[in-house]
Amino acid sequence: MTPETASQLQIWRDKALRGELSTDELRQAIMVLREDRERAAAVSAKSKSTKAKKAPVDAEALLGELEGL
Amino acid sequence: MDDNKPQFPHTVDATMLSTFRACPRKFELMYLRHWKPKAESVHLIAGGAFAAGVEAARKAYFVDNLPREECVQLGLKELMVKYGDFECPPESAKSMERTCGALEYYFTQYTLGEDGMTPILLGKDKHGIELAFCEPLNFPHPVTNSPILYTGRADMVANFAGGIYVVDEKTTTQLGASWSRQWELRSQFTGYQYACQKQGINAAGTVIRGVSILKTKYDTLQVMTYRPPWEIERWEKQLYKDLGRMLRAWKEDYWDYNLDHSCNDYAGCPFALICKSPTPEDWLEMYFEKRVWDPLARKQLTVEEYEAQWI
Repeated sequence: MTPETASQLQIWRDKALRGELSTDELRQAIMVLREDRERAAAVSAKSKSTKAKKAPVDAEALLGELEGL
Repeated sequence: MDDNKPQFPHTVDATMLSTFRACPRKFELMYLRHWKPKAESVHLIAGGAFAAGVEAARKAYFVDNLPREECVQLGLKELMVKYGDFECPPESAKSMERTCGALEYYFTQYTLGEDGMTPILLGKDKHGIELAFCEPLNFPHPVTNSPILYTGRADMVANFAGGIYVVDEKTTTQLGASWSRQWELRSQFTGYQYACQKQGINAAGTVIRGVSILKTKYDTLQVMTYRPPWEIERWEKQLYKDLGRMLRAWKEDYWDYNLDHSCNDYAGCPFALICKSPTPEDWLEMYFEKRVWDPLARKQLTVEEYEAQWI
């Protein structure tokens, strides 16, 4: 969660505690949470695919090594 | 009666019984002497706030028939209020913000009205959401002679997959095979089925929905656990055995210590410091305070208020 989202949620929480949180702000809060979750999931998926990508095998170099044995 | 002798409990619930089974001394300190840690547990705060949010959203949807998005918003508001201004320890993922995120995630995974679950209707307009029970046991209180009450509260009792199921949400930090397996013998759920049976509800089993709250992501797992009649009978028999042991300890005014694994399970017993001291009273006053959770009234009471209502 970004620090901005976290601090915005704390502001909304304080308003909720004072009974001042509006319907519009609640709608916005859900939207912000959803965007934050989707962004984190996208980052995680990207990082997984980057990690999973293996270096291409250099067949010629391998053969060369084998011939050298 | 000895002035210092605490009242024998008038009600028992799954948590109290589990504590007594793990360590009678912890049970005595927590539920008879009513000592509770001054520092609140983030797991209890976050779990309670999450449950309150789910309850508010469900009531808004199934009872008040409000639009789905609005119900989730109301749930979020309730969660924020219940979490309050509790300061989450920095090492914990269960901050107010992350717990809010978990609620939003929960309702994308289990969409209200589309997850195949509808709370049962009890009578004309009582829905099976946060269904409280209070079953008199065949075990009289040693002082008042009134039956001891077995109390509890199920998150939801719902029609699901052609049967009736108790539904329970659990927030956690880790989901996996061992998380799923731990519920198979869990007395909390056998107790729910026992209470349903007593109220004439033929529950087929319990659905446990785990939601993991991590620093970077959320996850969920739904498991089902069943209790055939013989398991419920065995649970009931064990309940009476445990109450008998509890009564003997109370009469003797000696509560056994576990002094083993129970002292370190989970985050460790909050009373470990007390049991390590030759003068426990000094530490109790410093780190603990006396308060009672009244399961029937659903509110915190002072010890005096609690005891007065039973005399």
